[in-house]
Amino acid sequence: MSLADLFQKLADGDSSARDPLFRELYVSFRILARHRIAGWDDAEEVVQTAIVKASTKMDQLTDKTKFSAWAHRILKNEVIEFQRRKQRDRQRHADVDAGSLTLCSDPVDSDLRTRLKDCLQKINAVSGRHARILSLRYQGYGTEDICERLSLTSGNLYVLLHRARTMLRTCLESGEVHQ
Amino acid sequence: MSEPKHKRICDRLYAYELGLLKGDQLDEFEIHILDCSTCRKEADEFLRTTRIIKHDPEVRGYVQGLDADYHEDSEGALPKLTRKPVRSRHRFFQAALAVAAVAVLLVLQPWNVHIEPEDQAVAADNRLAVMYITDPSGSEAGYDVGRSIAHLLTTDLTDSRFVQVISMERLQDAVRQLGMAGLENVNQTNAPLLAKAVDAKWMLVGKVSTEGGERLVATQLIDVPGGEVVSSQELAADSAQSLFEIVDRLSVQVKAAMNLPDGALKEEDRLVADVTTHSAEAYRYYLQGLEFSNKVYTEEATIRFGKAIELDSSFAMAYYQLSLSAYPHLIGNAVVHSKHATSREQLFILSRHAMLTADYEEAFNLLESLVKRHPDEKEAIYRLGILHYQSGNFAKAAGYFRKALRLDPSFRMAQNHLAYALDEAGSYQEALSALDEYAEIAPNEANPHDSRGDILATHGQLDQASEAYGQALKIKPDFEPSALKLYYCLMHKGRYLEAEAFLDDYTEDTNTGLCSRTQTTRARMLAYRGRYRDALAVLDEGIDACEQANKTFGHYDVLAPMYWLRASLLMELGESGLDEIESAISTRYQSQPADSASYRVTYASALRRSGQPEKARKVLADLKVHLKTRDPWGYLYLLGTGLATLDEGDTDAAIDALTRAANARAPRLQFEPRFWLGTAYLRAGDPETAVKVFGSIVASYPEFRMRQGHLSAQLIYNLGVAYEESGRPDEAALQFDTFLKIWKDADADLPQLQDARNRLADLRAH
Repeated sequence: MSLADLFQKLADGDSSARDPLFRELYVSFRILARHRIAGWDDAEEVVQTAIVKASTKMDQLTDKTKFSAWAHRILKNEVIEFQRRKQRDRQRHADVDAGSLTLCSDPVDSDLRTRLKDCLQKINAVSGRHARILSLRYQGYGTEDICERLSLTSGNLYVLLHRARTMLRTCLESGEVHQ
Repeated sequence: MSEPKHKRICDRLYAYELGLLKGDQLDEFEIHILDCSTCRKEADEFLRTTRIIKHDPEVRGYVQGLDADYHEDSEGALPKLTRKPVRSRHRFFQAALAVAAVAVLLVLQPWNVHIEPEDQAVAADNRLAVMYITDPSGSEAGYDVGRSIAHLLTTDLTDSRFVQVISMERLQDAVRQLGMAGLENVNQTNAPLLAKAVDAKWMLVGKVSTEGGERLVATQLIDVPGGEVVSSQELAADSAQSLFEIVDRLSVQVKAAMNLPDGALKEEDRLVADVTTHSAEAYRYYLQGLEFSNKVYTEEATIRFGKAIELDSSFAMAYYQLSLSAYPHLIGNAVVHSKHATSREQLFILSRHAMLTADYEEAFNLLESLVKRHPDEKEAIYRLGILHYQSGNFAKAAGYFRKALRLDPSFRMAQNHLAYALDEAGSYQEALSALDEYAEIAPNEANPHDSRGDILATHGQLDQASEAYGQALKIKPDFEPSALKLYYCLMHKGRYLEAEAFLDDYTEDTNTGLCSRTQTTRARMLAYRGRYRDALAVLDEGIDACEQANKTFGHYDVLAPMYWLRASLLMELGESGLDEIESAISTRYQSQPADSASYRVTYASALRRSGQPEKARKVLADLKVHLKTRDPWGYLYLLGTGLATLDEGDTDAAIDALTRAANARAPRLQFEPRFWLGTAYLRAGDPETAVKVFGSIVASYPEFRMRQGHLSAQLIYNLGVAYEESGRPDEAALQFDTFLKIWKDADADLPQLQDARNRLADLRAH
């Protein structure tokens, strides 16, 4: 059952829909938040805050069909607020190496880690160019930076990234790199 | 949410993961994750990988190491692929093809594509013709083997810097010109005659047989001027050895016997399987595809090339051949796998790629290099002609086609295009003569008659055109181009029942399903007759059939126009059409990723109507880059701008843009811009000029006019209004009467229907 359906049930007075609704919402929020926020703990904090706000403000939602968009807005605002706070903290504590604050967010999956390294190695063997672009991107370089370093247009970069990521995914699934 | 929209959003997962989505697209994707459990699960698994790459110290360290090890120098060696910076995000898809070429250029370098002048001189003195290797038993299997060996040997030796191998196509052309039965009948007696025709110094003839599980190949190298056998080669291969291995051994022996400089035996000699395919069966299908291709039997050729690819998914030239017909996007695959092709073929692939990415200058350069190295390449000369044709240089195009025909007077496609080029250049009678010659060299083929029909129809000779299309169908009853054009002719002449009966018979006889161009054509013609709802129902049937079918590239090519037409008709009925046009674009991308222009004009219109003018402006702005690169899509920016300003009520700006749009197209393709130009003049209060503009397209080539469906009928209504407002009541009445006859069974609530009735009644009353 979708979030919208669960919310509709809850709005119609079926209180048994509340737990599944917020369970689904929590799972979704966590995926989105952890994509935008590096630290596990930080992401969890943002998700919890967003869930609480969604829970307390639910009654204010007038158009029941727009639940997902409404919930997304709440999470997005929390993420933006978190990033602003982090920026302010960085400015205050400029002597702290920001890189050291980046913690491994997931529990260690040693098998996946091994496979990842293996695949990155294979991609590098097949196409150094693709491997390099992946590495620059995952190190956090922006589009303009990468384009400048490699003399690429943004259009070319997007395609190379897409291709490189596909190679990585295929390798993780099958163990082989296909160009 | 519709399935296409769901798929479109889900396909953005990669872009989301790489942080490439911004603004509305990012929000749309994330909201969808909240709504869709399937995509949510997929995203969760996918993003887990990303988190480890970014944050696990061990993996992160490895990733950083990749960057540190990389040397800048090798990057600097790469040439720029595009001359102008790409600004439009729609070039994202077009750039996919450009990027693939990088890999090819890297690959070309080790194989010394650059030829020294001395090598060229040696090669020119050592022109070699490889004849058919025949099987004395006459069996079909033996024929296949002999043909394959001859083709493979030609391919294998083509890359030599010291030998100029005459292509099999050139040989077959010459044999035909000399009236010989076939290559298999060439012998020592008639060899000098053929050699003179192709200017060969050496000729190789041979036999293949199978004895006791062993394959025996015996060849003779003949010095053509002297007529002597200078060397014999005999090879025995056991059943474990493939044809490819036999050819590799044979080509070394042949080169050794040709008295070439030492460098010839030391030059790099790739295995022939590495420059074609490792699958003998795939190669056999490929050769069959070439034979069908030459007769313009595209479907049969497509099937064969498709089978070749099924057997070997890295068969570059099979992809290349498919890219010449219905699947231009496959040129990307050809480029990616082009290391499995000879240097000559790589030039063909790259030049085709350049054409498809609208880099015409690069295409010209590559083809000219090809012709310089391989002067017999009629195909390259022909493509230079095509380039000129597409650029509107019809006279020059005709020159190239004639040059190709001098190499091969039976070069069907060159003869075909010569006729069109002559006609476009204003030489109608010469065009008809060229068609006569085409029919002579291809007497049992449908296309000469189809082309005759086209040229006759362009000059208003509809009855003769219909006859010509009918003749094409007699030769090949499932020749779809002629069937649809004949249908259009009948519709254009108002013979609706006859047209429908014809199409029903055609679909039944050819077992054409609902997912077909025929279905779209049927809908188009219902729209022409004002039966918009019936047209939508027909389209829905077609769309459902296509969506449920196993997706092939052909399906996307059929499906996209169905979505587009659906969107257009919905917009005529006052509905949004936005979902449909977005589906058209995403479907089009599946088969033509380089196409960043089709349907964008309608998309912009739909966006304006759904209250998104800024987004509409952005879509049109993205089209502007096509104008700058002077590619055939360039006029769409002007057309789109014209429609946008017309919607905004700025008729002056609309007239300016639409005039430029019309002038940017060849005369037979000006229907759409002229329709809207006439409409703009009407709205600007200049009905006299509107009459002239509409009048110039009323009699236009039926196929291009009828493909406009509802616009084609509305043209007559608009012309009626223009006549009336310019004080010409009799002519106005005639147009309204004609229009109402076409719209006899139209949907009752269409505004033009009642308005035409009222106007006609008023005109008649006075």
